[in-house]
Amino acid sequence: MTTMADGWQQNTDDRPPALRRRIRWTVGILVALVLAIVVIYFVLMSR
Amino acid sequence: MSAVIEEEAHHEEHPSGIARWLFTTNHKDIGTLYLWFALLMFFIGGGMALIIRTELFQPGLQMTEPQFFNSMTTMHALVMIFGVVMPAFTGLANWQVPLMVGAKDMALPRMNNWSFWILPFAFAMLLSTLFMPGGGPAAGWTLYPPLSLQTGDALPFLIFAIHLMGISSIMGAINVIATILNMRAPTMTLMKMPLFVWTWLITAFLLIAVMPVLAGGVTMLLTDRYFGTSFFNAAGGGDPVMFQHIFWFFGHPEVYILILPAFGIISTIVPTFARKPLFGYSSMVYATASIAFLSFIVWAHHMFTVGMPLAGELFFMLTTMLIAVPTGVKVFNWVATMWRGAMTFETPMLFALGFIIMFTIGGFSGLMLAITPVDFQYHDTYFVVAHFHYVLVPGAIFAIIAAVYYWLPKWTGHMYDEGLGKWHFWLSTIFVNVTFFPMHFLGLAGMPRRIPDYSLQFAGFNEIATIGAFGFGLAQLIFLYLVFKTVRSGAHAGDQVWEGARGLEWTLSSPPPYHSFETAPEVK
Repeated sequence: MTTMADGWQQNTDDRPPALRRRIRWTVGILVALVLAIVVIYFVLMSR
Repeated sequence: MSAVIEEEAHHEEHPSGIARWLFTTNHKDIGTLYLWFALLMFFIGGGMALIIRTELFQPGLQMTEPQFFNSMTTMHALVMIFGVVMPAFTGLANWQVPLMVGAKDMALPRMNNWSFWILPFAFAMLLSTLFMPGGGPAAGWTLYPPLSLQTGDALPFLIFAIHLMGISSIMGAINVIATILNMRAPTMTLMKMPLFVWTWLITAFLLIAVMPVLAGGVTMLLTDRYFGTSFFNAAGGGDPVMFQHIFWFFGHPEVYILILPAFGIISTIVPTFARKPLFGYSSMVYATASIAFLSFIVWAHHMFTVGMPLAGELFFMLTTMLIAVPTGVKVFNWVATMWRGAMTFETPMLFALGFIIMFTIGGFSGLMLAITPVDFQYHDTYFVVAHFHYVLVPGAIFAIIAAVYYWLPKWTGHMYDEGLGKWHFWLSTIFVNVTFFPMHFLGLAGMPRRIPDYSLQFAGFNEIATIGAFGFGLAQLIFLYLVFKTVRSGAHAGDQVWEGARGLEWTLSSPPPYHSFETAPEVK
């Protein structure tokens, strides 16, 4: 079976470490933003 | 050397058949999947529209039960918004954002695959509700309680489908933002980015901000129905109007999610065929950001008739009217770009011009609806239906079609049939107006929306609208044929498909290589 690691797939392992770190930070901040919105929503709704 | 060649060949080769599409992490393949999915849903949602229009051809009940008619209006909206316009824009973003910023692929290619493949399951579930006991959801796409809580077995499936669409949208938005902020060519500063990329960046933030709110609202519907809560049940101390506030806090930014990428497309196409740089680039960026900000403080204009304090009505009326300022800046800039340009009128430009004129008609009727005392008369009439269809059909849909004509030669390497494209444009433009313009008159005369039957005096305009709808639907078959034909064959399109086009995507071959930019390109 073809797997994600096969060569025809986009290989993200060859990215420079700095770029990988920046992408991780960006995704982390955005996920935190989504979670913060959910928390604010439920705090407002429970008042 | 041979190792390098072998490595490149390895990357260019990919499985054929179903495995390629199921397991792909390639931005172009996933873009293609999104676009085909949107096209399929366009015909399913369009079929529902034709059922609605057939029923309304004459007064009296013709062919549908009222419950099924209400299901059709609800599902038509859900399919067209979440299944057509949003996936089509995401497909365009997948194809174009890496090409336009000079990246090899999206920042999160595996999540990209997941974002897409959630959608077919979500929509299979949504459409399956039509065959469930009690029928499909029939309370309108706004899902207002208490009516939506009377839905049969379909309700939890509908809510789960909305959750899945929301997850897909949020993952897609995170991917777009991560790509734009991190994967741009080194010399491409933010203020050098193409407008389509800018509008998508802002749209992605809107998606992240409002999709959790919709998810929260529909989850509260679920708990009201199955877990004994009373968030929206007045008898239990809840407030049904609170749902309307929650829904429209999502719903109004959603309207801009459906149109901002269209603004980016038009801002790309008009300069190409006017052979001039876009007039007022930075003002376009700031106008887009202003519209996005304002979209969060106008939501209650959808619910003026619930009865709110005068100060509230004034606030929401004035903020809504304020949106006309940045939108006016955009329309002015498009016209100024064309001013004294060496214009030609290929199909993408025709659709872009159709967009500018007809979207503006929808914008003006929106301004009429923003005026609180006037809205008291227009609310829930066909005037509203005319307004948002002008914004979404010759608005969002025309922009998507314009984008497909504009970039299809780049994607496929084949030139489309220009004659057929022009037929498609003129028939679409004529019939879209035949369909939706009479609805203004129907609304002003007081015809309510979401009803399968109506008074005799509305018959004439309804007949015209139905004829227009079938004409518009048939005209889209030309587009379907043309896309198939262009994918399979056609004259070879050069790398620089359009003489006046600027941007990194035109420096690549047509079709582009499987992995876009292996080395970062130079941006002037």
